[in-house]
Amino acid sequence: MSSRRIRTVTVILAGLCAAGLLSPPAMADELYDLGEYLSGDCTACHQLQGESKGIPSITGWHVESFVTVMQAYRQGERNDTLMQMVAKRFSDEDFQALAVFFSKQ
Amino acid sequence: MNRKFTRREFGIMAGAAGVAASSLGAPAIAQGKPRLVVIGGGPGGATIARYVAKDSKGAIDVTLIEANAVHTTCFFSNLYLGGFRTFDSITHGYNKLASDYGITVMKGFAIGVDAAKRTVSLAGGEKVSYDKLVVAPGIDFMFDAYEGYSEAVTSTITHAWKAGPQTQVLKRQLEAMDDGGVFVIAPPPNPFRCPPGPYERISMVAHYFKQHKPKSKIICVDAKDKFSKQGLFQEGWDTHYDGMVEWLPLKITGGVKAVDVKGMALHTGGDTIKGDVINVIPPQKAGNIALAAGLANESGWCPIDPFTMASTRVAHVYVIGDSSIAAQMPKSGFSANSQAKSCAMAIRHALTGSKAFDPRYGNTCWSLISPDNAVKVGASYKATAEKIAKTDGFISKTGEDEALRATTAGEAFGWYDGITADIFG
Repeated sequence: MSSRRIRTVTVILAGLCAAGLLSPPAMADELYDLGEYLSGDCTACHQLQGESKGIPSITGWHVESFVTVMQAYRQGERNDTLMQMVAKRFSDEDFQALAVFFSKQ
Repeated sequence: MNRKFTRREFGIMAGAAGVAASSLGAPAIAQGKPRLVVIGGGPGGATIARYVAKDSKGAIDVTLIEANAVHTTCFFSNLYLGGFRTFDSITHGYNKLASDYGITVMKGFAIGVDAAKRTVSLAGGEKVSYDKLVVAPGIDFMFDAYEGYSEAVTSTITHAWKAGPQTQVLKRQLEAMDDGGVFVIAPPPNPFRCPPGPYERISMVAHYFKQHKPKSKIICVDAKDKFSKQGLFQEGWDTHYDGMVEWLPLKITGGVKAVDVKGMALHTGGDTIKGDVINVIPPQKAGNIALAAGLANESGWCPIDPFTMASTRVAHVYVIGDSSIAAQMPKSGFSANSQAKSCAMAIRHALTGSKAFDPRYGNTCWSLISPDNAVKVGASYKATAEKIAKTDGFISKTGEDEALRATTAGEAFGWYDGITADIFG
């Protein structure tokens, strides 16, 4: 799904929630599913079991912290050329989805 | 599983797998489920079997056909040669794929595919039917590439480019070699599995020699004039193994023309290069089953749809990993793992109508040069109508400080644990 489509879906879902037509949990499920799919980019290195030797653990973080760190990589404010490259693959909505997924592992 | 199954038994097994999978929340009725068959239990095949089984939650019956009971990873096999890893630590079984994900793991050697009947033939005579088939056999070798070279020769002049017994033979040869001996390595022409691999191997053998046989030499008779991470490796050889490594590009030697196993020598256009231990990594092609199934084109590799990894030559068949023509993605375990995830999503969508996202492709390769000194290269890719195209990338820099290189080495070891958990469960 393209970033634009995700944004569109997010806006539509938010609208449906505001109109009382879709419950917030359904929107959360949507985000979680997206995060689960996107997480394939991460789990080639980071372990879902939370091991942190050599490669840091990214499970169980607060959603806001995860998003902030990923944005910092994307903007080059955190120094790691690999993570800077990986972060550039994602939109803010993607970060949010990944944060939700990994927060629940 | 250590024995062959009759077709009837296999049907029963598949049912049993369905029952196991039903505990994951799958429909209780196993019959009528779509069936995915995967040939090859390496980084591509094992990953896609696991992801389809996991994400379909039992809705797809998954069978993994693999000739060997265990898989020794090619990545990190050089670290075994260097003394940094045990053989057991780079060898993985398929038990979790069967027990935790309900995958039917069949020990068997696939020899043919009947695209019309949608069946895979095994060497024992069995046939396995599929709705969708993934072919992930890795590479096979062109044993007729050099005069005097053949598969029989590899018991003496190893390739060690499919990790396993060959890697153990090479390690024993290096250990048996006298101090002051010569190790000759002949990397293949492009394209081949793991582009930085031969040069990491040189680094790891140099490390072993420096520790145990410091008068020894390494001669690299390359089939190319340049290679992956070249500046980084050559800087590392100068820094850590001064004078030990001699790299001979194609333009100097003309490349290997003949292999003399009795005389333990390689003949090039004009020279004879003798070695006490010789490692010839031959030119490569897609795995034999991919060729037998008609999946490869005249290049010897398999064209695919960049969005799904579906074969462009045979319907209902997908090719992932080293056998595929993934354009700018290198043939690596990381690439195969990445392709497997996008392909898994495409197959689930085709079989069950699950949601399809855009495919995602990435690669990163770490190479160890010496203890606490590793370098890395990586890239992002996207599917276009023509090919899987590179969109972004990075590479370690020459002259990096020791602390950064040590951190990178630590990452490599952490990555190994992460990706093998992602592949084998």
